[in-house]
Amino acid sequence: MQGAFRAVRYPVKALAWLSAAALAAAALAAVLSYYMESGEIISPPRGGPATIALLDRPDVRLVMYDICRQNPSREEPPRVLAREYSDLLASGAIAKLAAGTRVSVLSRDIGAGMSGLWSIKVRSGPWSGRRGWTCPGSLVLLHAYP
Amino acid sequence: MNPCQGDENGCSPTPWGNDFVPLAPGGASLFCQALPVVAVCPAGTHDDGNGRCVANAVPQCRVEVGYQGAIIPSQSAVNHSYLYVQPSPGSPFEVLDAGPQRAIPYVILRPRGLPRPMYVGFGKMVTDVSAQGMYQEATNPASTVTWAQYEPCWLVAKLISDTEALNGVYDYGGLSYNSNSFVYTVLWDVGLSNAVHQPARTPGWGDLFLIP
Repeated sequence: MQGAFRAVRYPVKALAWLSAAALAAAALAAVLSYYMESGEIISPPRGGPATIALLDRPDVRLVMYDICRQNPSREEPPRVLAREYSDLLASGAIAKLAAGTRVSVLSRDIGAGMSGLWSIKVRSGPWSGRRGWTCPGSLVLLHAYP
Repeated sequence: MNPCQGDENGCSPTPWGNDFVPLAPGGASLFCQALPVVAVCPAGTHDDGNGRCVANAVPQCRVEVGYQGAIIPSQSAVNHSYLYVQPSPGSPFEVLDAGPQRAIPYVILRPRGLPRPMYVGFGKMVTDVSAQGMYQEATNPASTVTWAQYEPCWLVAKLISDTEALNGVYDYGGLSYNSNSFVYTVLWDVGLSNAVHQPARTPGWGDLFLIP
């Protein structure tokens, strides 16, 4: 009887250790992830806020591309789609983030979706918790890889 | 008496063809004055004022190699390197740098036979040309410049076009084929890789990407 108990006890103990190690690794990865993804919105050359897209829609993409490509100062509405920009801003599809707003950079998109834009999660300010997309020049990451 | 004896005007020709004219009568000097001669020079050269064609000065732009600590910017245990460049003479600097598409790899594998771990999930290597730098290299007080020199501006233009050409083309490799490899590659492409010493603790330096 004691032998059977021992035979069960060791695998259970080993499983418990493995689970604890896995949990610790996951927690460490989450902390590291949060740390490495952290970035902040930077002031455009002439100051002012940066625009982010809060919805992945074709009309939003067009306006964002217009901002990224044609309006590098980013503190003014895009030149070509100025009216659409105002409408999207009013409807909450895009928003303006002040310089210094903390964000997590989830991915720097190259291909599909918001092609060329950076996918972010806002970490401070009124839009905290929202996911969005912004022009590459609108923010910096705080921690580099080799 | 005219001090400049020679042709009917009293002027002597110089070896390169322009002649001398005497000063106005009553002038203080006894010497003659050179006539301005403008030479027609081939492209890439100009008249030096004496009728000789000399090569135009090539516009020079500053190129600097810098590094900062990876993971913790102020700690340089493992470093991230990048370039500061002036696109035109005297213009503000741009930062050329690279990094992974995603900050955290999904899986780290160590297949048998491979000397280094393989990172899956960093995504592509993103390259960038910007005033601030992707990792705020332009303003990071811990940034260290290890090499700086004036180079022809066409060479800087090549560094910038190479940076743009490499964006999103290759997988980011972690400790190899990374931002340090990117800096080495673009320097190699313009013939500066031997002139620039490897910054301290920059794994991946020496790995070459093929520039599309």
